[in-house]
Amino acid sequence: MLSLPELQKQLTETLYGGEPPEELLRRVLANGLDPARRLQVYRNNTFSNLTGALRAVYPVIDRLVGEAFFDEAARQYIPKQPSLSGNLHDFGATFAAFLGDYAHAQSLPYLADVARLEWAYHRAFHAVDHAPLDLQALSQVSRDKLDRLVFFLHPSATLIHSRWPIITIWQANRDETGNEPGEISLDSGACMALVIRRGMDVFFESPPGPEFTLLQKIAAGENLGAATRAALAAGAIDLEDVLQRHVTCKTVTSFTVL
Amino acid sequence: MPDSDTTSARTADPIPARAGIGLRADHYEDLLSQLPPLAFLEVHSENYFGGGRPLDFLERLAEHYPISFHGVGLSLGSCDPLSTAHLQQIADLDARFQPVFLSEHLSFSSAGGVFTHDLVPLPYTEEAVAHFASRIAQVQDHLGRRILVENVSCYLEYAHSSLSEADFVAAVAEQADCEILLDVNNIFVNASNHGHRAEDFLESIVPERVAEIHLAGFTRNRFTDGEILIDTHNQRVAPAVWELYARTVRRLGPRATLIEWDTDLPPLSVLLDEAELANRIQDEARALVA
Repeated sequence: MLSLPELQKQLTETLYGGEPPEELLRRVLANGLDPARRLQVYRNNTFSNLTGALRAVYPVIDRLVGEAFFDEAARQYIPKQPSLSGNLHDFGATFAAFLGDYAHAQSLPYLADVARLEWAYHRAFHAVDHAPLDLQALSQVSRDKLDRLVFFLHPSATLIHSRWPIITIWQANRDETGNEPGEISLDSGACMALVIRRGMDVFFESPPGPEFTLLQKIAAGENLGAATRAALAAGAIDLEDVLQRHVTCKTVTSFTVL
Repeated sequence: MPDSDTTSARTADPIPARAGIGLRADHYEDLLSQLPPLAFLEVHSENYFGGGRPLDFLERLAEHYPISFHGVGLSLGSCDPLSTAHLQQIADLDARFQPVFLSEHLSFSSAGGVFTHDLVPLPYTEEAVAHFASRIAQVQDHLGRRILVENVSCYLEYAHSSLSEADFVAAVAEQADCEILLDVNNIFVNASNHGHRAEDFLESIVPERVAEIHLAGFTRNRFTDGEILIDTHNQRVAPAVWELYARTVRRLGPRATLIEWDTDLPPLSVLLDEAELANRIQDEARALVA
């Protein structure tokens, strides 16, 4: 006797591409259509929903590799990294890493980083709102504790460092006129991107090296002392000005003293 | 003050038994600029778990229309533990918008923590009735309100089902003391897919339990060895489903009715046209009773 949890487990595995076990097939009424065919209808729905979700998150990858390549990559990705959330917007977080290892994508070495940028855009779009930083509370932190300040970035913020010009690639392939993008030199330099939603819109910003390092260290949970040292080691930076700007424009939205 | 009547599924004031439409991002701007007469707007709860533009548009539209939240991700019928994080997100939306309806599906979409994002039916057994009833009780306790549960489209039936689908839906609603979101297109699709009579379904349902009706378009998939109707929500409601809808409102009385359209979205005017057709059918049913 197939218990309810076991039935659900077998169905879920079958929908993700597994061969339906005999005892599952026996549980499905034929009634004019082969039970295996009935399960296939569900499997097609699952793959088509999940592929659609990936395509919605990764339109630039889709345009770079073409529909058939994208479909095949999705078909292989889906059973390897199944959805683990009831919210479909959470699906696809690891697609960039998958593309980085994907044998058929080795001739496009920038693909994984473009996917990282698209995932960051998607997360920024769907991130929760956050109130601005409490300036009054910040002004009450005594000077001797400043080094131990730990800042938190807006929930929509992601920092991406790539050796490829991924923002340029993204922009060229999001042209909605349907024009083919012009030639992009892959040697045009590394890219340090701050992806963030400001107001209603998602922005790609390219802070200079030391500023990027500062934000990266803050994002990693390091205190202001450590973040500052890392930023200064990366080059010249007017720390007070940079921090003030990111508080004012809500890149930094809260803090604690550890 | 919202209606605090505990027998109602609504925390907001009840809405008239007229048609509303599913709200999709493509129509945000048109709806806000035109503000067409609609009884309510329904959204997929999960699309508003974050903030930013979607939530902003919903806030602005909620100033003009009652809002209904339709969940597609709670996996109500799963044997996995209910996700309290997911449920809390729904509770937050409930508190923020006071939706006129809050609904989920009579199906499961996950096992062992893996989600198919498909609405897969359970066998129609007493065991599954009790399972759904306890899960719905958990949800209703957490939210402090009654929810609606929807009959889903089915492309398979289980050999060990002991109840008809309609008796199953009715039994879940009774045991859980929740309301029913009756999807008339799904009744039609299932009757066709499994050789049942759609009228039998209607006769098993207690009219008072039904708080909302869904209507959508389906697609006919032909195989070499048979055919199956798929609930695709990508076209107009089929004429045969309109006929079944007319029979439904004659039997149940008029109900708040949603036009669902999720893929291959047409211009807003097409949805408004479908909503108007639903209103006309309800008016005809009212005239018959008068």
